[in-house]
Amino acid sequence: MKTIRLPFSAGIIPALLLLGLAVGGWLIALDWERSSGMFPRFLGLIFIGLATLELGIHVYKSVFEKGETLIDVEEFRKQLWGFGWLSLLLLMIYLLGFMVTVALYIFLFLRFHGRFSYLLSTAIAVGSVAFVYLIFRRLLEYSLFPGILW
Amino acid sequence: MLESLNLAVNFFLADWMTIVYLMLGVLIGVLFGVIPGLGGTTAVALLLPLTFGMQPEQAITLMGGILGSSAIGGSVAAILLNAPGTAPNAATCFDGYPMTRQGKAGIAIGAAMAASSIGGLIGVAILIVVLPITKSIVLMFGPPAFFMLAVLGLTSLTVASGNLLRGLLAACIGLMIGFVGYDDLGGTQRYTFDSNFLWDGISLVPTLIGLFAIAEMIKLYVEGGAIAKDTDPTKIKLAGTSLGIKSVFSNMPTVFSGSIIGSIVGMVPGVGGTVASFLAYSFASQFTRKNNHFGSGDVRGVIAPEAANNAKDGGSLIPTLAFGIPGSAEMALFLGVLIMHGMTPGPMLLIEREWSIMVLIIALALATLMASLVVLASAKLLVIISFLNSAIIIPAVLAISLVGAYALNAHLGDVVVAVIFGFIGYMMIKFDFPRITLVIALVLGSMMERSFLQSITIFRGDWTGFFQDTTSLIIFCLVVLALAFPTVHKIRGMLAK
Repeated sequence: MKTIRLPFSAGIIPALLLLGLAVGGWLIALDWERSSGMFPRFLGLIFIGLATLELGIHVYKSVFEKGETLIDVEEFRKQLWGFGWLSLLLLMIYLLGFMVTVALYIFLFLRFHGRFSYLLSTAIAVGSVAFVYLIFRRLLEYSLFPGILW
Repeated sequence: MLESLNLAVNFFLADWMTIVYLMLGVLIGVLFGVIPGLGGTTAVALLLPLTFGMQPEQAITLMGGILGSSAIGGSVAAILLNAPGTAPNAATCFDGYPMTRQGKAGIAIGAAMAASSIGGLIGVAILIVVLPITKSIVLMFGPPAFFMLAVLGLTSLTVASGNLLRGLLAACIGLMIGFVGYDDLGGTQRYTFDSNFLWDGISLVPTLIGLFAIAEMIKLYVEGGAIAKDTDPTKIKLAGTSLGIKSVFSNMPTVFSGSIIGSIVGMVPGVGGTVASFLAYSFASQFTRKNNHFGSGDVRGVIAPEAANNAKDGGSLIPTLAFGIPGSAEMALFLGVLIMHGMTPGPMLLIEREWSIMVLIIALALATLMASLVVLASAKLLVIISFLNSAIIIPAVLAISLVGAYALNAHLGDVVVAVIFGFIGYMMIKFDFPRITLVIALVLGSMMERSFLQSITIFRGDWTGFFQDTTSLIIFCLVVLALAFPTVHKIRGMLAK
């Protein structure tokens, strides 16, 4: 198993992001009118406190307990591919619309990720489009986004 | 109450489509329950958008079908594959799988189905008895008590999640997301960044779809392969299901104790089915004197957790319907369905739409019975389904999820929201932040803020008022106890070492 070693506790990353979110959210809420801002400001202070504590715990682990993180390269690669497939789906919906995307995306995923045969990939893709069409278009009468390319 | 029950029964009898929706919910619930890693929560998230065009009671029926059946489906994989379909089914593995290895899979399945049905019905009966009492209690609650109750709900959920600090952080994120949009009270745009799309706030449905359906699919993608592994489904033999059903009737004390534990645990927000089934299992194993073979294929080790797991649904509906405080992720999603259909959980729901609640109660009762029949008739087929390659499930669930996210407002922004929350949900899984706390905080956010502001107005700006109101003070003490419990437990553990 190939791994990458980070010389700190990986929990520092989300803790930093959360602290940024908490401080940013609280600062923005300072400008709001009294009733709109009272609860967010109250919550913001709690949020900042908790995020600081979380960050402190991970900094302590990293500095005093020599905490480190081992990242499994294979798993990391799979995660990137997973995010990539999801982003592709979003992009395809924007460009081609829902109906074309459902068919094409399912076919591509089955054929190139699942390594299924052309026949099975096509059959499942067509079945899925039929399902979406029957349920969303015919039964529920929703109009689905057509895509910007057509 | 009888009048409402009569109305609800008539609703089921008047329109055959209602029964179709219930059956559809049961089939989907069983299917999603049997596939480890999916479960009822993903099923509810995926089907939320399909309910837009339905009457509220039809939507309730569909969701009741899923809620009442997913745990039953989950027990099939637990018994036959040692892979619990849903987390609460894990306790069933202890004796269910050894029974399968001893060639008694049919008996275990029969016992699980009968115990689930009876447990589910007992849970519903307890719900019917307790709801009228809750109605009078809930009317005594003022804004300070409601605020504290929401804090208690979030706190107990956080404590139950096992990571207090991260649970509280997730709750803060959920509440913060709830602030996004135009605030009617103060006429302020909050966290909208001049975007028209964010003016109405972040929609609940795409958020739920992202956090549950999409995040689970990313997780499944990373894990890869077939969802259930290590067993050959063709070698499983199912015989003696009727013996299993009979064994339930000869162990009624175990069924009753499991069901009562399940109902009581279900009423406590955040504790949920996993604790209920493990508690029922350990109770049964400790108090069984005669022929105690727990852990090596004792049928009572299947009966107790299954009865508890199905009885908890009735119990967990009490805080959800009466106080608007969901006890589990499934209940949070169900709350989303109610809100989407214009029904605000709380005292007024119990008074004004009592018959809708009766529809849900009937749907839950029928769903447990129907699901048991479905499983008994098709257990072997269901096992084969759990061997489906994840590569088939992932693209289909992803595509349908995003179609559903779009269908709500016909706005592409909702699709982007669902994808973003898919990433966030996956990261929360990776870094061990409880998603359920975020969702429940998001759902409770507006109620919490409203009660907070009303209380402050009542107390004329004096914050100590929260501790002068008796009900709110009692609930505050419970919050402190809930927070202190894990700390005391930890200190005792350290001292013992």
